[in-house]
Amino acid sequence: MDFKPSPEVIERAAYWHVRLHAEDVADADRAEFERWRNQHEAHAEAYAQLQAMLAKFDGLQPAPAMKALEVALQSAPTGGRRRKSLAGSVALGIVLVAAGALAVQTDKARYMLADYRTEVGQQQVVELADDSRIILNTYTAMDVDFSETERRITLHQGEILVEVAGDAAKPFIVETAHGTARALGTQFIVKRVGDATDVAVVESVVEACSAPRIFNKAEKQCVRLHAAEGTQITKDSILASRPVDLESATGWTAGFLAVDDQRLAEVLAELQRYRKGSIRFNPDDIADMRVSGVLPLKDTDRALEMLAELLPIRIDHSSAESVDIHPR
Amino acid sequence: MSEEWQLSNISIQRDLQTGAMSTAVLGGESLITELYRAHNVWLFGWLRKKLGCGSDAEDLTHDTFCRIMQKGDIGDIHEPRAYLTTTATRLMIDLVRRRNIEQVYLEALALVQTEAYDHSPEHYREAVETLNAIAQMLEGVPEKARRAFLLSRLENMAYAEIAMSMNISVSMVKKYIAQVMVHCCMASYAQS
Repeated sequence: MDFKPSPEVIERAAYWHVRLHAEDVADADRAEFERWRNQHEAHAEAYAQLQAMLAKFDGLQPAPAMKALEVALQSAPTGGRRRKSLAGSVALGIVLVAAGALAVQTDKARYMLADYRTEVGQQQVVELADDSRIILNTYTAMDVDFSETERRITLHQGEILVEVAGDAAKPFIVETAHGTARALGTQFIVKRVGDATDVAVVESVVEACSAPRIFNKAEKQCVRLHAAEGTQITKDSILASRPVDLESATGWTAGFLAVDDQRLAEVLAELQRYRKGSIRFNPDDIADMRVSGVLPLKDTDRALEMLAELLPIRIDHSSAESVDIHPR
Repeated sequence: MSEEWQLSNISIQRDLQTGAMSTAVLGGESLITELYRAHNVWLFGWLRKKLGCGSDAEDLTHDTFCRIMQKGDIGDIHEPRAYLTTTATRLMIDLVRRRNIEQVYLEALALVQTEAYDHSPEHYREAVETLNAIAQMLEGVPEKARRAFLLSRLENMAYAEIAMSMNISVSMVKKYIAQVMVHCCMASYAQS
């Protein structure tokens, strides 16, 4: 490609494409589009490149192509290398560094090729060469890369808790698509929610930084976090530090989910991470329901029953694959 | 017209008309030879451990060095093994993804059974290549946005239909589709 229009012009071209393909497109829209396109060479070029990109889909059989892309891009659990299964609970008292990230949409190939991975509902303890220890939570994939100068963990999806063995010469870095958490001392937590990565510190100091982006020449931003402080890194920004509840952040290592006056929809979404079958509900039905309690993660059926005891909800086991949550 | 370069057991083709590889060859022949001699056995071992298959590992060891020669910036490598594994990882992902796509596409295609459809092996290969390129382009797109976009582009569904099937608003569907298109254009630039 000889000519690269600016991101703003591409966004505009995409906007026009969508508008022109809407059911309610009017002649006035088309005329306005033509004006925009003729206004500048870059506009015409951006629109042409967009159409060329879309033309790649021509000639594919819709249903098979859809299925192939869904499978290729979805991180379906397909079994993984196992080290030790998590026997009982992990003593939180000895935790030096904890890091975790909630599932990011990664592709299946990346998941399958990861050095370590767990399936839905599975946890695993990995002992590293430097005596650091990592606990993988449900449906997690990570690579371990130790070099002469640093210890780097790449978290493709899921959540990990890291206990870092001290080595002043080699920093310990956990990297996600959004940024990095670098242990300056020995204790910290990272958690990924939706399109963001959360970082929280258990003890000592961590430097959390956003990842450099394409087309964004700005300096990467970093925030220094102390014990019981956290931040959130997204595609575009990193937030200032804020206090975090360490007990709920590390509860999964002991096999429980501690919730304190949390929205039911959020709790169900969290339980879903540990359950192969889907938990279905209408967000409007349960919008004003909140719950506090400690739920078992290794038996999500039991966790759902406990919620039904606490709240006016009914659980329908509609099929082997899914359960439906209804208000009573 | 092309020229073949022999490098231990790697052979590299160079197009003499476009001169595509000339930088790597002229400026870096000794460097890549050195890189190859120092690390090819290690890289093969690393790949075999990852892939659990000797013949795939052999192919990808070869492809990794080829790819590096094509790039032609041999002089700038500070951490050779990290550089090699980064390139090799990209190629492994590509290989595994292509096999996934191939399997799923062909299985699903067998169920479609349209008379009008071209079932030649050439067409299969082309479709798998196209899907692989598209999957690479869509990498990193959130699931819902991707779904809205694919329903529109592949299934040719109207925005209102997509909105209904996904239980979201029409304006959200439009936003998703535009967002994915921008992502795809950017990804194409990054690759080229």
